[in-house]
Amino acid sequence: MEAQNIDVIFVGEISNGALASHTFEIASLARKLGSSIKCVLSVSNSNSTFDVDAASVQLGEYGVNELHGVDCGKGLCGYGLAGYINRMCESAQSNSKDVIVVGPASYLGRDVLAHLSVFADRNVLANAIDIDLDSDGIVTTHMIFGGSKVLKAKSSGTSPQLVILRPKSISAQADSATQCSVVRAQAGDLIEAGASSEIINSEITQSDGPALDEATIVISGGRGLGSQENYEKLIVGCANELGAATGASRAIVDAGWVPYSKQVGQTGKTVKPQVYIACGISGATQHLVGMKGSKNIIAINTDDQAPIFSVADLGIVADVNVVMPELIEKLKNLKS
Amino acid sequence: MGINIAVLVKQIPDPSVEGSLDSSFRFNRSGKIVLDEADLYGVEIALSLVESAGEGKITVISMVPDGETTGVRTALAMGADEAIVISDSALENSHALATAKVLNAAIDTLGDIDLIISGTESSDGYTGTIPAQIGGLRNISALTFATSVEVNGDEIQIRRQSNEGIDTLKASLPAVVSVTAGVVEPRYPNFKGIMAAKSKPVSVKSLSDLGVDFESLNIDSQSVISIDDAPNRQAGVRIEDPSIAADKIIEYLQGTGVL
Ligand SMILES: Cc1cc2nc3c(=O)[nH]c(=O)nc-3n(C[C@H](O)[C@H](O)[C@H](O)COP(=O)(O)OP(=O)(O)OC[C@H]3O[C@@H](n4cnc5c(N)ncnc54)[C@H](O)[C@@H]3O)c2cc1C
Ligand SMILES: Nc1ncnc2c1ncn2[C@@H]1O[C@H](COP(=O)(O)O)[C@@H](O)[C@H]1O
Repeated sequence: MEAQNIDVIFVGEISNGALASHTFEIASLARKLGSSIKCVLSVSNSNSTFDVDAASVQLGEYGVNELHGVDCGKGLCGYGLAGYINRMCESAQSNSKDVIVVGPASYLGRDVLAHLSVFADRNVLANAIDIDLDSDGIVTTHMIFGGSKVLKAKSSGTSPQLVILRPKSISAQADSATQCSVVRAQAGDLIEAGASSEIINSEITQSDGPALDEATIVISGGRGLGSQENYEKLIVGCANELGAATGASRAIVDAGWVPYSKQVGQTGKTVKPQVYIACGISGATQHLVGMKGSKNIIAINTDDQAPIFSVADLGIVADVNVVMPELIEKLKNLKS
Repeated sequence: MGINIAVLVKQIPDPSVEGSLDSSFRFNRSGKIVLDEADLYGVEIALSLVESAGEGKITVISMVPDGETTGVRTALAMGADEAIVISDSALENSHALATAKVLNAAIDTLGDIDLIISGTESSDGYTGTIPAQIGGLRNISALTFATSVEVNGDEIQIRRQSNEGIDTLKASLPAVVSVTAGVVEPRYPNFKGIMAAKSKPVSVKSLSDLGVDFESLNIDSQSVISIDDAPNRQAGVRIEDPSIAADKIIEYLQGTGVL
């Protein structure tokens, strides 16, 4: 496939009122793959006050040509957005264009690409970390076995090619400014044609401090902390001193110590901070895939065989109950 | 009449043993096979929904290349009523959409089904797309990432993880719902359950039994072209003396420039 004949359509996302960072990452990747780049954004539900025109200016700086703000009504947006994107694919194909559709590995991105794969009757390649063009299709790169192996898969045949990309795999880079036009649409008829659900309540979990996937320092806790109180005292306490974001292993999310939004790993967030501090976390493969890309890793664990040490630049074989209070004390003294 | 539920369960190589791929890049399935832990939660939710409805039926459905039934026996021992195992060597390289189509064909054989439950993503494949694909194929609501599920009459209500917190959603039945791990504590099969499971019906079906045309699955459109070792992170400095640990961490943080 040739980039000059390819339309790239991607799923953008709004997070806490602003475009999510993976939206800029995918835009940056899209420039390498195609000549016309279109971002589709759900502007329904809690996003109704979102400023689409301002977003189009931002996206223009990343080379995006069109921003489609689609109102998908009251339910989950996956089905409606997929139907909308499917129409975009069909019209591009009727102009003899090849199409690549990319969505983020997020709740929304997975749903959209899954539904689209049924509409378009094409499989979707999930968990990719990169996409390249190939003579008659695309080649996607994936990490498997907890990030210990790199797998390349080839997908050939008719358009569209559908890919789900893991956030934080591509670095976002602005381009020379592009004029990005705005298209507003309703997905109403597309939703009614299919199944519909309705969101009847949204609870927002308040979180203080920097966002987990944007922070310079992330400090995470695991089951080794022993209790929720220790998470508050040792992890949150230390994060306050460092200006760090707080994360968690799935074990303590499942135990209800912290909300799911804190989970780092395969089914949680991917983080790539300057420094990642893992406290009382064993380092299961599913945790490692979410934090292995951190620039520097510090691990504190009593078990010198814990797998987390195999990726740690600084490995502390010790009890968190001993090390963390002292660390917090010293950080406090350093400040004053 | 009660509630009629299908639970999709994957049977995978024991995840506590390091995974490997064979020369054709397929997961090595020669060792012990277990019910994917991620799917225990779906079975548990189905059992509790039947308990609160008073009556109902739970059919577990699993697709494998090799006739494996160990994992579905675990689900039957927990309390599910029947199992359908779709086994066909032609499915060895199946991708997510093909898997969804085959599972959907098996669901079709169950007649009027109220609810289809799956995990949010499997432990080995983790594409996470199959539940929504099945919703799309059946043209019914797909409620993904549920942390709790309630059924009232012909309506389902779920709580669902969102980027910002938790959403509550409702939809009409039939629907597909994918449940996250940790929402409930899956019960352990007891001795009675294990014995009972031995006589519960497990029907093994091939693609042609289900009337699925292999060509329509379009499995050949994708292939693995290479697998290489990932660039490894080198383990760095080790500190075993707790009395200097805090100072070493501060020194290290200062060295990286974040402090
Ligand atoms: C499909 C699937 C997806 C998953 N996704 C994720 C995911 O996204 N993220 C994730 O994290 N996990 C995920 N998991 C779970 C993962 O496999 C592990 O179970 C989990 O990461 C373990 O969490 P943990 O390290 O906190 O607990 P454990 O494995 O129990 O480790 C606790 C560690 O604390 C140490 N310790 C104990 N006491 C102390 C002390 N006083 N001081 C210091 N250290 C101490 C112990 O030596 C041990 O290494 C997933 C699993 C599956 C099947
Ligand atoms: N081969 C299979 N047989 C039965 N169910 C499956 C199979 N593969 C996936 N599933 C279901 O789909 C969910 C998501 O799997 P995946 O899309 O592989 O991440 C799993 O938790 C199962 O409920």
